[in-house]
Amino acid sequence: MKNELESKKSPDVKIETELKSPASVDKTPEYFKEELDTVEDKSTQLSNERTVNLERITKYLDTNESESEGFLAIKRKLEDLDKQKQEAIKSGKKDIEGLDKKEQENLESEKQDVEQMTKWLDTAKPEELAAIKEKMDKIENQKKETKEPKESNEKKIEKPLEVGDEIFKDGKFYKVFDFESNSGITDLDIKNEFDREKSSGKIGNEQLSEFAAKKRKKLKEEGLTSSRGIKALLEGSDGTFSFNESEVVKVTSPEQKRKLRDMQKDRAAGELKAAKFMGLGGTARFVQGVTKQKETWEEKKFRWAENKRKKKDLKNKTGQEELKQAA
Amino acid sequence: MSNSDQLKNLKEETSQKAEAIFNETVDKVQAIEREQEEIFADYVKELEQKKIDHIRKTLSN
Repeated sequence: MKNELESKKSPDVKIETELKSPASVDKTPEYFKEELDTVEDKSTQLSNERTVNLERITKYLDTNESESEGFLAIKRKLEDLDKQKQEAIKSGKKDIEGLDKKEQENLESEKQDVEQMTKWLDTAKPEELAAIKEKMDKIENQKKETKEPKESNEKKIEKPLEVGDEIFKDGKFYKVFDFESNSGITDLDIKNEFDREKSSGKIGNEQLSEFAAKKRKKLKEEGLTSSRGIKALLEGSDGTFSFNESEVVKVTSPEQKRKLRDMQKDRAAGELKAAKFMGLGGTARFVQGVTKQKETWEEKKFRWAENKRKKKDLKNKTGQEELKQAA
Repeated sequence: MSNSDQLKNLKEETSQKAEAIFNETVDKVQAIEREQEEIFADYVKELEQKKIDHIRKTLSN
């Protein structure tokens, strides 16, 4: 009796034992509903057999036949449980019916859509089809744009930076406090120059990146930058750094700042995951190595020079105050 | 994804949901069945013990 319903649990097993090919049975909601009908029949049959057995055994073993309280109590308990079983089956069937109904509705709706579409395609004018294609291309392009690396979008600066503006670079926030000399030659100028020279055949097979690198190097040698240089103060410290305007993201709102911060956190988590995945270990030291941007030699020099200047300023200030007090 | 693929996926999804409901229902029914078996077995044991006690009592008298 214990495993009476065991074979029912997985319909796959049943199908195999009955030597039916699984593909031959379409496991629709209707199929499972019928299976539940079988479970219900079997369960009712078991309950009836149990009641008969209970009566027989009680009659046989009861020492006091007139005392049937125990028998009636057990019978009631078993009947209650039978009701619970029936409820469970009923509820299961109802849920499956609901699914079946929903599926039928979806199928019907899909069918109608397909019919409508076919009908429309048969009668649509070429210009209508062209308009649809254009719309679809537009959607595709939008999708592509969103898939492009975020950084390229982040780096767009709509308005020129001003002193005091907040900027984001390599996972850190800075404040602009000065600008360096500017050659007035932008990246766009370099590209235009490249196009001009390319079309005149002056540069042969040289790529834009190589051309731009050479151009920037030349400008740097002349003490200029290809775009405006920024002196920026690192948030939460007195460290200062120099960047090109085109390398940074302007922080325009607290909301954007929060997003950039979250993005940085996600990136760090991703790098940690990747490091662990690659079997490189996830120790704090390693993670720091992966996520923390190394300070360049130039940045270090700048920071030291700034600290020295600040100390000197402080010393002068203190000296002046002491002199004032003495006077 | 074509319409036929979408319909196929939809059918598969519904089928999986129906199978999950079916298995859950059978699990519930089986659990109740086990409870009923235990109640039945305990009751029979109790009756047997009573019978044994009754026979012992009769024999000792």
